[in-house]
Amino acid sequence: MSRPGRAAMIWAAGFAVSACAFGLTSHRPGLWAVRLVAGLAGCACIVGGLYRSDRPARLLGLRGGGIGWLVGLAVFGGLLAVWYRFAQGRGLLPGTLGWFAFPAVGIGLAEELAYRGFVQGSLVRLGGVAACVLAALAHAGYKTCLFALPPEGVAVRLVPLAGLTLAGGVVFGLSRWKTGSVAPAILAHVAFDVLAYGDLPAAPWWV
Amino acid sequence: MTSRASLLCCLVLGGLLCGAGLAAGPDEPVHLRVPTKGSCVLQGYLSLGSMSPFSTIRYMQAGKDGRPDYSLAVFPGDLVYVVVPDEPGELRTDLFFPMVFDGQLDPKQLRAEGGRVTLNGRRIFLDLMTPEDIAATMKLPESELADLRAVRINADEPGLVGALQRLAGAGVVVSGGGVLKDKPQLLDALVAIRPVGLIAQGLPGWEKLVARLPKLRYLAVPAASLQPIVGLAELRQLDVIFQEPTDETLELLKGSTKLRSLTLMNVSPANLKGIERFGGLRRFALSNAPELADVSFLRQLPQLRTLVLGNCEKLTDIGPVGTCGELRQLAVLSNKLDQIESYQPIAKCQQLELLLLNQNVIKDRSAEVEQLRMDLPETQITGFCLGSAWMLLVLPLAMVGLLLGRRRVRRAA
Repeated sequence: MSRPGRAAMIWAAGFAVSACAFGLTSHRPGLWAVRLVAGLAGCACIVGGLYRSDRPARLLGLRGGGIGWLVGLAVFGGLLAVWYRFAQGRGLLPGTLGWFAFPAVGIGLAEELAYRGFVQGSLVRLGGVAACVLAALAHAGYKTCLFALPPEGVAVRLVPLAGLTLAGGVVFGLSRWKTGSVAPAILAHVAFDVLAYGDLPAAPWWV
Repeated sequence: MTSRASLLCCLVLGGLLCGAGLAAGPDEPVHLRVPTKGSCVLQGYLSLGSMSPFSTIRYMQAGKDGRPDYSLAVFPGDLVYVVVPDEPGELRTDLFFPMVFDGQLDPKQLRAEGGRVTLNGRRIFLDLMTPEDIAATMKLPESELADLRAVRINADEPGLVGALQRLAGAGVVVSGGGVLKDKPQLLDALVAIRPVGLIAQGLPGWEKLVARLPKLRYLAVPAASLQPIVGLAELRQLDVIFQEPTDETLELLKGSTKLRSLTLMNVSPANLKGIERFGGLRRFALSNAPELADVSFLRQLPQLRTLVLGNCEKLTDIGPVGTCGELRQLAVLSNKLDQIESYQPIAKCQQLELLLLNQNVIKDRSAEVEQLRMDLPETQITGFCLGSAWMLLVLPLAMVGLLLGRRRVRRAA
């Protein structure tokens, strides 16, 4: 493997590990130093990885996806949100959208740009499927870490959380692999976040 | 391993994990679980807007007439009972669930059709307030009553006894209204339920019921006297709203050695004599103690994790708060802006995770609050909590990285 290819993977791995460390400590007040270091390291990895890339836009997957993938993934994300609401005993669709819909859009967009864009794009030299799976694992790992040590009184079932994030990540990653674009994954994630959380009166605790 | 094989493995693994989660899902009332520790307090739940940090809330706020403006009682493993004012002078009771406070559900979206409150398709709450409720309960299959956590009764309903007999041994929390006096059959039926908790704010005559329930674990009562509560050895959690001034002291409750949570409303300093007996208290909430000027008794409560000092108008020195080294959550909610001489003693509580002050204190004594923020950098004072929103940083960072990368490529070219 070429040297730039290895470097890109190191940047991606650095980001993935930093994000996990940040997630793991984000609800533990005593570990602010770890959180700070992890946050800075994650930021540095993204900027460094893109800076060292010969084609940063391509690495991130900034191009139009096929219309079929765009529509398909948006519907997939929407259906996932409907199922999620159903599993929680809520109405299948949000009645109204509150202020939290906006950060929800931003967070979905950012996560896809980070994992399906930066991480998967950096790992593409390993092969399309491997990059897709590893990026999904990195994302699932971050989510699991974020929820692993919740504030007192919050119960989280990590196994289905990890499984669903991994499975969803693989589907999103497939779209990135097949289209070379991060747009379908972003659309799906945004559709999920808006429909699942857009009507909340307040940000969920993990946000 | 080939690419297709790794993809297949991943999908199978994901499928198995999802399947395990779904299989465990409906039977595991995760969202119902309230922790037995780490409760926290909140003033103005209805006005604060964001409740994401407050997964467990327990606080009573005194109204002008001595009745609660609202109260929130959390019963470990059960549900949140909320009393909120509907109209001035009237109180409406509602049940909410911990999942609401997890920030995951909108209270307005709570599923409650008539008296049927369900979670994951299972009935957990039963209303026995009207003849229709009672008639419907009599027709319910046994399976509908298997997971009940709480029952709300109207003690004045003639048919209530029959419905309660169906709940024998259910071990639920009982709340409601109506008069219990001179109703021996009703008392027998209630005793047969073996309640684990009683919210008796609207149940005159509750004393006779409590006298027959020596193993009560949770109790919320309006009381003119502490005498009816004496001898409850299993009591974990006690809320008392004193209805009239009394000289009785907490010495009376010395038999309740397992008490871990105590909420007192409309309190005189004399009532607090003997509180040192409850050195194992984890939560202590005082609301409306206008004559209380000295909180040195806090030195005797070293294990406190949660402390509320609300509407203690003569309290100027909160120095003893600094001796509660284990304190995690603290609310000092005063009516007057300049009443507390200094908030600096709070800085000694190095374990503090949450500090609630009145909004006007945060605003008008900002220098002091800022000093507290510096002294307790990990304490949440305004409800800010950094979580997954940090990921938003990726957006500007990606732009910066893109611009820098392109610039580098152009220079190299």
